[in-house]
Amino acid sequence: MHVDTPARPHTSTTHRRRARPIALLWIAALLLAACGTARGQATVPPGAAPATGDTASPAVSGAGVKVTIGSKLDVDGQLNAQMYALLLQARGFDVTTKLGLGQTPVLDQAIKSGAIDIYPEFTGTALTLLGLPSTQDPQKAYNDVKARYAEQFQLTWLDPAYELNDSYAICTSPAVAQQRNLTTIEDLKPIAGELTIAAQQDGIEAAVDPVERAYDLRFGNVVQIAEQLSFDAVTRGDADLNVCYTTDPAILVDNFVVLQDTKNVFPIYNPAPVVRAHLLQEAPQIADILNELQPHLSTEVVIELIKQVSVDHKSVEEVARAFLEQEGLLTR
Amino acid sequence: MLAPFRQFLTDPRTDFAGETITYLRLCAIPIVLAVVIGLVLGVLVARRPLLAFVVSNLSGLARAIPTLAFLAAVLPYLGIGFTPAVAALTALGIPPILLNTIAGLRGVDPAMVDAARGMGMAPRQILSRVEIPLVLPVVAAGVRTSAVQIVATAPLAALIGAGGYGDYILAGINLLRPAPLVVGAGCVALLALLVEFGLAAVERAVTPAGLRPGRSPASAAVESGPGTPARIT
Repeated sequence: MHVDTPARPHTSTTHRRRARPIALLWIAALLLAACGTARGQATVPPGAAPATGDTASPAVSGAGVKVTIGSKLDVDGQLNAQMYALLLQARGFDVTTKLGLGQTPVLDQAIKSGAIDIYPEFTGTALTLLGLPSTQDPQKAYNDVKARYAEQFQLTWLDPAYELNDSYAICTSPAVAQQRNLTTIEDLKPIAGELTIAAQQDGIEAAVDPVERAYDLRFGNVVQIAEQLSFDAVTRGDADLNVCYTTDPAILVDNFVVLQDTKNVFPIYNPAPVVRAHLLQEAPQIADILNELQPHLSTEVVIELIKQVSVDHKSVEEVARAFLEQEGLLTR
Repeated sequence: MLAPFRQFLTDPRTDFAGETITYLRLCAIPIVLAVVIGLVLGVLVARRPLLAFVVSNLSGLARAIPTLAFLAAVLPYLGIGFTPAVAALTALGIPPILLNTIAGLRGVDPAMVDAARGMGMAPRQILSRVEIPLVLPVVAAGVRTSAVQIVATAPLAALIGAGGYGDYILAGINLLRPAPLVVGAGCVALLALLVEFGLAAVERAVTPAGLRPGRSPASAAVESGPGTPARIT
């Protein structure tokens, strides 16, 4: 029954809404992604970076050490990787970035094979990669992946950004929230049977199932649809709720309401830099440099940064640099 | 090794039979619609050079739009689910049939029609015994191209809630699970091959005996004639 699509007449021809910039941007992103890995590759010559100056003392200089930083396709991952790159460049490292390299398995292979040295990964995703069950406990998730990665792959997890949780949530449009008086997932219980929820394929197992179990409710209908398009589906009335990512800028742009998860059922996804242990032996100061960044990141901060990239069309580098300067991690 | 596959296929959530039916409908309906629309449009414009030029270039342009972009672009108007997916796949399937119909009709050698007339055939006989047999193989090649494209692209329909094997593929990618990915992609590949071979047989069957490759000198004329340039794969 989870694959049924709603046989609902499309009655909303009377009201046309503006084309949402996110949908268009998403198309552009897919097209770019299809063009391969050429995008986002940039090499900074060794001598160029230190000139910009910064708080780096000679003791932590990374001059001459070559570092390749990769990221997945998502803007969140690209921003994180770009910040790592800027911080290391400022300390004199010879940084090459390969942003938007591919999906999780690509990055996983790339770092294990040594094609890249560092990339941001989520604790929750790493648990899945390791075949371990997901958890709601950030500390446990981090400890488990850190131990396994060190032992099995000679990869080191640096400090995670505990305040940045790129997880799943149940969202709805402001109109539906108001009409149905929804603020928490608990509020869904009496009406869930009448509601259609749009979820990406992975959101069924990661969000719909746990919510139905923990809150003892059953959604009337589940439609499988790409996460980025699910906001449109709710706005149009094809669905009442959607499973969203907590850092999706549509939450900001379209004022989508994230229903509070009072029972804490969603798995934790904190990002952290995953670094090849060999590189850390060569340049142990990388740990301190990147760990310094993590307390500055939070879900609220990053969703705004993602919006600047995917809605306001600023470049990843521009946004990452401005943020680091604003936080005093990089001098102008 | 096979355990994850067995587990995946026996999970009631997987609903393999249901998804297969969905996928077959998701392919069959656009193929039929594309054949009808492509043929009718092609016949209508083939004898009008200007219209044929405009239509074939427009449809060539439409081919350049990725189906995924099309799906996202029509979402605000057609919504989600089966209907917009069928619309997108039909739009994808029309150009090869349309272009081949135009090319086939315009590629009929006037000398052959002349010869037929010289032999005393009535216009209706010329159409049924000369023109249609000459055009049909070219059109069949277009249908084959179009059908295979539709079958191979239909997994994307899962992005807008139309279901089918695309659900397996996307779940496999997003959850990093090989079983659904391999089952979904494997079924799509198998279906595409079946359609390719099945329609290739049809194409051979509708090619007049005298025009089949390797049979007679006339085959050379077909190879360099209307068939080849229009079959874009």
